Amino acid sequence: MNVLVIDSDQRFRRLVLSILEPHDLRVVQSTSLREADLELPVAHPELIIMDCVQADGSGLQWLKKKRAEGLKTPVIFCCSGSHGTEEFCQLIAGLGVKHILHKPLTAATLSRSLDEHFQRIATAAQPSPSTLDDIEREIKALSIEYIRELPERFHFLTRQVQDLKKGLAEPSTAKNEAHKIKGTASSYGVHDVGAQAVIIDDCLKQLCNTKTAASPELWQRLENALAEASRLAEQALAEVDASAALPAVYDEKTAMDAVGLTATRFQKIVIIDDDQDFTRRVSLILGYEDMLVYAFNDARRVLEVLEYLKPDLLILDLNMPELDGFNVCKRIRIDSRWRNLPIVFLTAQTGWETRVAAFDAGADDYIPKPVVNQELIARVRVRAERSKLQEEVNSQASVNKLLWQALLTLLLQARVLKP
Amino acid sequence: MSVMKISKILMVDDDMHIRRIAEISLKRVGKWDVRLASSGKEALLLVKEDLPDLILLDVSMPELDGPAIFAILKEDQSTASVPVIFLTGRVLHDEVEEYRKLGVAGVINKPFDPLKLPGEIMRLLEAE
Repeated sequence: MNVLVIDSDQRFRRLVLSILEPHDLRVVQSTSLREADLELPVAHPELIIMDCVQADGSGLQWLKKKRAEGLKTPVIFCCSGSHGTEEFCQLIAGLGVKHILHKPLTAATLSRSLDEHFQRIATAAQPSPSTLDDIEREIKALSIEYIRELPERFHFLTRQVQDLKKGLAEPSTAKNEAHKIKGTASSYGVHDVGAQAVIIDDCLKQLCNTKTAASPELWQRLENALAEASRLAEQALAEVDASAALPAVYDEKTAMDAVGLTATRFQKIVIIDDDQDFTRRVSLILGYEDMLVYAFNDARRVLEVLEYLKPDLLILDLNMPELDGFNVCKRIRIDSRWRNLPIVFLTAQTGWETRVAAFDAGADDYIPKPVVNQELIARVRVRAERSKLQEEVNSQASVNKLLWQALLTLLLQARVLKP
Repeated sequence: MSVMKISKILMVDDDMHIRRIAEISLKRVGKWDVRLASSGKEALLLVKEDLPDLILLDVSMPELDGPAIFAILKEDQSTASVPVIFLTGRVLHDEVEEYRKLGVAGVINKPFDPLKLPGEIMRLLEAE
């Protein structure tokens, strides 16, 4: 039996894959609607899992078209929490959508809705749906605690591996830690971290077993997996923080709470710089000023980061190995949602040409490296305050939107629950 | 064959994170009475104190590991009848077969899905 997953986010596709594979379901992956068009006639899926918003257009419009063409396949929609009311209205208009799930998803939520779909719920010890919700909430609370510890655990692992390479440590300490993470990450819903932990565990096992010096390839594989795992752990943490601000399921009270939360919340700053020591320092400095700082060392996923975190301000290093800051900035500005996002550049190049190029690329401000703490705080604060003022103008609109969303979700739940 | 009734489970693992997620799973999803032990020593004391209906036992632990605890339990008349399920992060087929030959009721791989763990336990016990 085939299931078609349409989502540009590889992590999401992998999550679905990891949940469906044990059920003997074949997962056909499409990264865009265009790809899905090609897959559909070949794969004949029994179920489609897709995001409302796709890289190359609206998933809803696509589905509408397909329904008009006679496509009968049931669909599970996944929406980011903030995707607006029009979408929900259209959904209510009856597109044969089986479930609507809110991103970020936990494995448990997705797997439950898939189980419901395929009616493969284990017969033994099956609690009722309402207690299941409670249990999921409890598991989620535990997961948050687990995820908060993860970055530090990977720092520790990285240090251990560095010492190991220099011959200053025994491999067993690192191996035990990696083994533990491998055995728990998926249970707590962080499958991608778990997948990297499998590689790390495997490398360390090989290191334990080889009497002779380990090959450079093995070290490389280990270090790559560690770097990737650390990044994913940081990202999971950022997602946890982001989703804490907006509950996945709306009712009137949580919608009101969410509005209250956004009204008094701290300013969210994202910094992207390949220099980890530097981002850590900036996090510390701005953290003291009651700002929430999310640091990333890789600019390639900047759009995803913005999408998840919706920051008040972005600090961007100009000179990064993979992408240069100018291009990153231009890419961000193309998206209308980020047209007003304050972007502050950081650079060690102090020539006027660089500064002009920075403003040309769409930067709002510019801080030279080495950074003076007080200047950093002052510039970031002024920019962020100004954008917040703008946001407050729009806030009444967002209150209305959230309340609408709550109402529509309730209507929708009533609809979904009907046989 | 009728399935044995389970109400009390002893869960043994040295990793706090496993104990926490398993506790929620066994208590809330499985609706069982759960006790936790963080080492083989503690587990053996708890078994003596109040005999559980099932023991979930982590394979790799410092000092007394899963197979060692299992051997001790089997030697003792009073505890020999309690079914044991191994929890392991190792997925090698040979190893799993080896554990089965020891006489455990089953082997469950880590990581497990907390919503499905009790179902998996029931299936293993039914297969017994």
